[in-house]
Amino acid sequence: MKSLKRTRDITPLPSRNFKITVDDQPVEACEGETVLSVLLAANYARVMENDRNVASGAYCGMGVCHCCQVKINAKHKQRACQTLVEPQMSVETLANRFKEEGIKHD
Amino acid sequence: MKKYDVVIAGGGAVGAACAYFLSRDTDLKIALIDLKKPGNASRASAGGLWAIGESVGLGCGVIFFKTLSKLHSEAKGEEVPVMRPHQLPDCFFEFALTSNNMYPALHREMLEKHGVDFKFERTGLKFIMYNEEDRLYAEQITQGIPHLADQVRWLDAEELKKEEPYVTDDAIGAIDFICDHQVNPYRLVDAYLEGARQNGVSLYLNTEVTSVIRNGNVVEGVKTADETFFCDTLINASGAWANELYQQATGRTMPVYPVKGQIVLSERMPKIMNGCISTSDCYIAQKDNGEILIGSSTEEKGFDTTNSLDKIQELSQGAMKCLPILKESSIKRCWAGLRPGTPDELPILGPVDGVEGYLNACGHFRTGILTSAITGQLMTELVTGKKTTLDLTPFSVERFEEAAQKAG
Amino acid sequence: MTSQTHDKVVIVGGGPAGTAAAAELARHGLKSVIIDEAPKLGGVIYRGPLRQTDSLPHLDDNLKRAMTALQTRYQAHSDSIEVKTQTRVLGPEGSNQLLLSDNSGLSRQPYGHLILATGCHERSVPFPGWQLPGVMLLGGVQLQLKSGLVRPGQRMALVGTGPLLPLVACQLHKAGVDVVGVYEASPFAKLAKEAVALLNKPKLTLSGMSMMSYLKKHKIPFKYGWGIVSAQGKEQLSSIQVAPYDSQWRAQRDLAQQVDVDAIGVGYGFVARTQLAMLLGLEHHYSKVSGYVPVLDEWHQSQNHEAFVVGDSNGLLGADAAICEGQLAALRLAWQCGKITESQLSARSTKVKNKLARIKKFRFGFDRFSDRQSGLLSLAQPETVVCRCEQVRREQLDEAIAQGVKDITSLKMRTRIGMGDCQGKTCSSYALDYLHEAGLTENIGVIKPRFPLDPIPFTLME
Repeated sequence: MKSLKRTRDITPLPSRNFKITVDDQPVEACEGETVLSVLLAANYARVMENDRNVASGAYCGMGVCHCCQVKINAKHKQRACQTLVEPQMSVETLANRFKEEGIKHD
Repeated sequence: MKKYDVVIAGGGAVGAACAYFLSRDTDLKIALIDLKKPGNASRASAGGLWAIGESVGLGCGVIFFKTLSKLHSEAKGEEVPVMRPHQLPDCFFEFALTSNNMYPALHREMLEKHGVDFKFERTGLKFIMYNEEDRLYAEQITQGIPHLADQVRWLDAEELKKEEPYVTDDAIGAIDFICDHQVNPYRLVDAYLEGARQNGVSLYLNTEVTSVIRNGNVVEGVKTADETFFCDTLINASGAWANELYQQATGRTMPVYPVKGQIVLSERMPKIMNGCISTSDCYIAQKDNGEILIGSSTEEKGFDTTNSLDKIQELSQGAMKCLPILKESSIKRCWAGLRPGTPDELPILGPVDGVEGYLNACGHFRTGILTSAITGQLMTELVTGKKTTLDLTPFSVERFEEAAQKAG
Repeated sequence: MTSQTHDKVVIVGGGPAGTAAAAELARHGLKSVIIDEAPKLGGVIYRGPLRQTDSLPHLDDNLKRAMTALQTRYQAHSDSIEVKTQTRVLGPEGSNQLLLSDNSGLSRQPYGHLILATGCHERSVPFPGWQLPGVMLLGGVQLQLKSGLVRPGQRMALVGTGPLLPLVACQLHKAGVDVVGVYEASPFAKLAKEAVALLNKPKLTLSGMSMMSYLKKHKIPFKYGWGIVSAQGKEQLSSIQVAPYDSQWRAQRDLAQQVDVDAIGVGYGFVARTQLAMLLGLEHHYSKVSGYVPVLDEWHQSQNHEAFVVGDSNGLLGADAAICEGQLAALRLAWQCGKITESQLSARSTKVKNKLARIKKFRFGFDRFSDRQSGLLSLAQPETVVCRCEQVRREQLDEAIAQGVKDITSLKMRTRIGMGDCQGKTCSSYALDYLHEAGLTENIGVIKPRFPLDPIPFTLME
């Protein structure tokens, strides 16, 4: 799988870092970062698809607006801006339980 | 100074329904005065139209009767017995079922005439059985209501799974009350109010009735902070606060008191429930917007409306046991409403002996949403001097005085 | 579930106000515990980078000094201050107790004394296209620069009002972003009028002037009396329309210009974060600048509750004022606890109060300059979504108001505005302004926050 490149870091990442995956693609991350910062560094603007099928990106960036919710380690609706990265973390953007769950009518 | 034919004190489901029916069926000049107090029960309600369910002690009553039976046994020093159904008297069945039958037509009427949708949904209410004890309980329920046998359906585990695929595999079956449905409670209140407004009712929202104007035994109107409202009839639809107004209007007291109910609401979920559910732990309803509503505690704590972790935990555990998929979701909101409780769980409706210009429309306890429609109709009949659709004797406030005299 | 004695003062929020209060309490022998949702103290303004970095090339020395000062203030008294980071207050639980959540689950925090220093969040102004990925709030942009060390876009514009605009523009430019324009809604003439007020904080005014000259030197256009009209893009932002604003901040659409960008920062002001104070039952009143704020006495103690509220959560005055307010509340509390005498209280607080008064004069100058005008409300078109969570459109508000809705609770019931995941934090200030603009000003109520203030996973209830 192709790695995601981080193109928007203001200063270099420390040498001690680890990988997380975003939509199954590995990307570098380091201790202390939020998932949102990693997404933005890797040039991800579209982050969330909400319950009403509207896509959004980071908006308030501080946990207030709930517009950057992603699926993290198989859990839906995690705020990317409020979650710190951890090694092997798996992040899925535009994931939405309305596509995955529920009673399907013919 | 203002003058109306009818002033309604209280704009919850009951007061709003009175305003709607009175304005639909008469040419009277009507005002509704309401202050949204924390804990107003209509907005805290689940919106279940569980006519049979509530009459046999399911739905909102589950925790109430559990608590009651526990207290009762503890008081007697006995062990808590196996739960037995707690059935309300026949007059309540009639009251609840008559009201319930009004909703399909009312829903169409509101939509067509007033452009408001209170989200009436035909859901049924299923009592989920986890074990033989639950089955016994369900059998006792159905034995208690032989005249409603055609409204009850038994589902085995397989049939239940087919209808409610997200219910736990541990369930052994369910009974389904097919005439029990749901609405969106705050939309129902809003629909009544909007219909009433379009029919010419003056709405004074965010306004508190501060006192009642009385001349001897005649109620002449009410005062608010800024104004005086004279009226021929004052309808007391003040929910958990009804006794205060009653005292001012009559100089007596009546036993209406707040019974707190905490509610848990999930995030919006895809459709995971086809109908409403009651278990012996809680009730669960998926509302029109996808949120799962779980209720509700029964607490007598005065007008306190705070949430407490223990009750939220109990409700959540009961819901997760029934619908394990909730473990993947989060609690979005909790709140508490104050049901207007009465000692015999029946509402207090109609005139008061020796008092003119005053009607009670209160004490609706757990079923104000369900019985708001019939209450609105009955009040309209009383105001216009018609014979009432139902006999109101069992609902008169005097029943408490008689009971007190007997006891005395 | 842990339970602790409540001999410590509980401080919610570890920004300038909360840390200043904790340090001042420590000076008088009072221990405290600071609860903050972020991984580091400092608040949005002074938290600094969340990851390791050798340099901060895009941040100016004033900011770095202030960040260090805050850390020093805390370090000097760290023995007396317990810090719970990455911890959220979900609301009151029982009496004199808060329910907290952190990575390990739920816990209860009893309190004897409570200081709320919950800061503010940004005021949202809906306009066509504001939901497009790439449209961010100005503070959110800055937080990525300061704490995330990430450029939120490569080619950006800023729209809004107030001193944060030139500051963030400079930071973005130093961080390597191509800043194509900054659009300040108010006219320059209005700023000039406030010259006297601004001289109450000469250093800040000078630093503002040097930012303006930095922008000029780097040929970054700064347009007074201009603002946002709309944002365009297919899947994400690709351009915005900006136009001159008239004195009422109505966009002169015929003069609109297109600016190609991949991200923007939008900053039309802030709102006090009062959800916890409201849940606790503190009495609030409405302020045009800050939204609903608690009713407090001169020591920042609630009129109907024992809690103190300090910093931007009781009205937007910025970090320097927040520090003063934190100190004042702490002094008053030390006096109430018998740790200092009345004369000590008076001696120490006079200086702080004088400083606060000067800051207010300066700040009110900016408030007058940035006083938001009604034109902003008409940026949203009838079909524009004004509540993101519930996707409520402006025309639904119009319909409800036409039907006679006169208060915010009824508006919410009718349209579901404010009933989504964010609990109305994003949309309620617009809804309030919209009702005001419709002539509804009395008894319109407030979107009441509900417990829990943050979602709780059901699994934590097992």
